[in-house]
Amino acid sequence: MIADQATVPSCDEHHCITCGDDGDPMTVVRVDADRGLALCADGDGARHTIETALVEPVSPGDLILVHAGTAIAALAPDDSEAAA
Amino acid sequence: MKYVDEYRDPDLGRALSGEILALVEPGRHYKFMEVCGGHTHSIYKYGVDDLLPSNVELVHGPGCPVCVIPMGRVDDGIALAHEEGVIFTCFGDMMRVPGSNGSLLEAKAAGADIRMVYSPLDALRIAKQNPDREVVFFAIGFETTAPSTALTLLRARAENVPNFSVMCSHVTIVPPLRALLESPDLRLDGFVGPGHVSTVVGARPFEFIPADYGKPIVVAGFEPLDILHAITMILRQLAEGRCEVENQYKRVVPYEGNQRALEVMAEVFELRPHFEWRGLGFISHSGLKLSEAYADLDAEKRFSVPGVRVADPKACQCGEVLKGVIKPWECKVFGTACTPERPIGTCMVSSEGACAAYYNYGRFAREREVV
Repeated sequence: MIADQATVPSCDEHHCITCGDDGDPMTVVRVDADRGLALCADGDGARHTIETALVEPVSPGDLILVHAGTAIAALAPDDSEAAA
Repeated sequence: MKYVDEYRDPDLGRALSGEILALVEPGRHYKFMEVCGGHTHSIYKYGVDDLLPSNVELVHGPGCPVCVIPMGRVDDGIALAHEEGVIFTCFGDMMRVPGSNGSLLEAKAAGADIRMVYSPLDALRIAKQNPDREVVFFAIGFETTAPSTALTLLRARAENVPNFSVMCSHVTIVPPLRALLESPDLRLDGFVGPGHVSTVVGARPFEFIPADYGKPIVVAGFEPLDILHAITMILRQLAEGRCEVENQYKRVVPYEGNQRALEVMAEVFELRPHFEWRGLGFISHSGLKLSEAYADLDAEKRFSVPGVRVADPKACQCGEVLKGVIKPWECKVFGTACTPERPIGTCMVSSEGACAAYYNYGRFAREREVV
């Protein structure tokens, strides 16, 4: 059976998260320090559970750069949009 | 929007373009490689190449992990996906990469339980939700993505999720760059270095490029002005007779990288002696596998994997494209037999692949207008 490849979602409509060497700025909303996770909001307000081990400690309101569900860098407040 | 507007400002872009024009020597041809697929995508999305003089040429590097996965590796993934009771998880673009007998997407259509995830953490969650199934995550990506897999493996161990395993196809950025620099059929004058890979590894690992090969490299961000600024910095180095690693993306990239990320990678992974790259062949110490301490979470040890090497399709010239030897439109099947809807080669799969970037932004023209 041949599937219709045109209908397959890419990692998102613009790019592949791995190939794009992608980093999405997100705002920390709630921290689960015991589990090393944080609930974060992206630029559209959508919530994601993010691994924060690489940038700990984080606090609500912090801006982080996220790749494949993991925060890879902490951003200064003015850097969030520039890093996208 | 603050910063986005500034990094896409047309006036600043024109000013940088003018600066570039002032820095180039008439009669000299400059060939710079942007290593990262994200840069390739930005260059064609924003028309950055149209702002460059005709004697500044950008060639596209191997920094798209989907594009460098060989067919045999896709076949291994499909074989795992067909194992009894397995839920096979991978990033979206990986599903469309052709193997020797179809893609993961076609295997899904044929009944295999293959699911797209946005992160390895999502795959671990599926494992916890399906304790009676084996969940395999197909891990691809450079050092930007590898820490995410490493942290998920640490978490799987800590939370005791025995039905989770990883088929590790992570790759590292330095060995293919060295292989490219050793390649006799490619003459480069400098590199636009990868931005977010460098967030993890830092800019220091690229010091071998000026030290051993006498080429400048500038680690760059992904906005159009970032790329133009990086090209300006490379040209300024050449004009001043300097040859260094410079960091244009200081707002995100620390020169020494993220130590915690490097530590977890060192704990979970070890280098494979060799790893096959599509079009580039086998490159020593360029791929990662799970370390002995995490061997019980290695899907290739938990299941039987064919591990057969499959030659690339003869019509496909992904190798030459990945090395920057030819432009995508110079490939015999570009835009005809090979399109994003029906890719033959991997460079046409991901939108960060050079061929797909050319195709999607209508870059069919053989000649470029001179600025």
